[in-house]
Amino acid sequence: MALRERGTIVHLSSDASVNAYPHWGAYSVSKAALDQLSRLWAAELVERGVRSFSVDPGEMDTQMHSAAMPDADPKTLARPEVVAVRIAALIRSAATANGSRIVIDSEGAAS
Amino acid sequence: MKSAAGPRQGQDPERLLVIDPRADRFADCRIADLPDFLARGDALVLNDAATLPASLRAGPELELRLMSELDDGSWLALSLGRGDQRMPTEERGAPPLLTVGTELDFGHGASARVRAVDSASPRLIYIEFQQQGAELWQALYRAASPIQYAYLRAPLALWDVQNVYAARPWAVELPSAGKPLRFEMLFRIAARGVTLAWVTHAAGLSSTGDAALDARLPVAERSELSEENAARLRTTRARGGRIIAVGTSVTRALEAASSSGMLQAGLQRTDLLLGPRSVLRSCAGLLTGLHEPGTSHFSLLEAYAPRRLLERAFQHAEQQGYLQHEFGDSCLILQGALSQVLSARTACEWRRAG
Repeated sequence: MALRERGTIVHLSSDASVNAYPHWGAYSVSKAALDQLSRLWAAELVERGVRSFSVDPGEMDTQMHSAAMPDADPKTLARPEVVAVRIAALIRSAATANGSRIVIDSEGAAS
Repeated sequence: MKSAAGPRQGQDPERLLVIDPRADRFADCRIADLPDFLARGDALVLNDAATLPASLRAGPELELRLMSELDDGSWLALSLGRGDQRMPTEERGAPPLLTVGTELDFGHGASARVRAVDSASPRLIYIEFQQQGAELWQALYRAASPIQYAYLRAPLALWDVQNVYAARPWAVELPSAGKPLRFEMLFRIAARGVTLAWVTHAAGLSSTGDAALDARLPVAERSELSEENAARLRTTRARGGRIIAVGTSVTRALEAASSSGMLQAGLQRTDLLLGPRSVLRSCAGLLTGLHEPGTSHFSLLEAYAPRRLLERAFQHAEQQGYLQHEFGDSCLILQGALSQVLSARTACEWRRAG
């Protein structure tokens, strides 16, 4: 991307990067580090035409989620393909700010 | 010429044979010297096709190697018989005869049906995968491995057959001329004022193990040049810069896109064969591997330089222990390379061709 002088890097974050969930230490600190990496690349690569942002996709109906929380009702969780469409829209939008951290709620809306 | 037996390591510096057709000379250099041969205003064109895992097994008696995806989503494929990728392709057993309608199960959720058999050889078949879209991609990446040949010392990982700048997975074999171009070198090249441009070309199979079938290679391959990249290259030419192709696949893609006389953007499928009588409309130079006379790759080099000079240079390369094939050493054919290097810091020993 830096060579081509264009591109967008999306970091898939989690609310565990800003909230402290007991016993989620490794996951939590790695997601917090990912958010900071996203901001760092945003600052480093902006002059090369590359944009970086992170997205907290919210709780999704994934294999990881069911393994971590087997009692959760999948109906209350967002479908990954719905979230993917929203992320694709964020990538296409010139309004998605470089270095930002975006939260997608369970309805698929971004804030 | 000896073959490189695997991916090159950092302590194993790749060599660069530089051939200057105008000066009728060649020289031994290092790949690290490449930026010195490029001038401000030149353009270096890279094939950004990533390499698919294109070797599928349907039992011990049958391996299929994907050759080319057709416009309707079906694939031309080559069948190979008993044996594995560590065995020379020409020594593999005869594959079972496949007929129209045969179902092929590759495991891991990947399966296909034979749609047609090519009239040229029963080993060339057209298949339709029974999966589509994301399901097909997932099954293919689980079930298939990279195509590889007997001269390699160990099985290749998918990562081994990617260039650092690879993007869409279109190629069935590594577009290997770009393998020595790591990020540090590409940034050095860009910092010299050289334009970097990309084309995506679905590089195909390099060998079938059958001389008659090999003579038909390369089959028609699709490539795409974006308007942005075409415009960059037209500007390079208009300002007197040279277009240097990284790989024979880039040469074919750019020359096919220049058939009207002007470099045109677009998606195309080309079976263009280049040789000693070809007139190159776009490309002024080529970075490639070492190719032996008699191969289609060598014929393409003759579009850039006379056979006598190429033969002499490659004979010298063989004597000097240069390595061939996808992880081998490199060769730069460029008009005026000698005068370029005389003004640079590179110290290469130049030899006359005759």
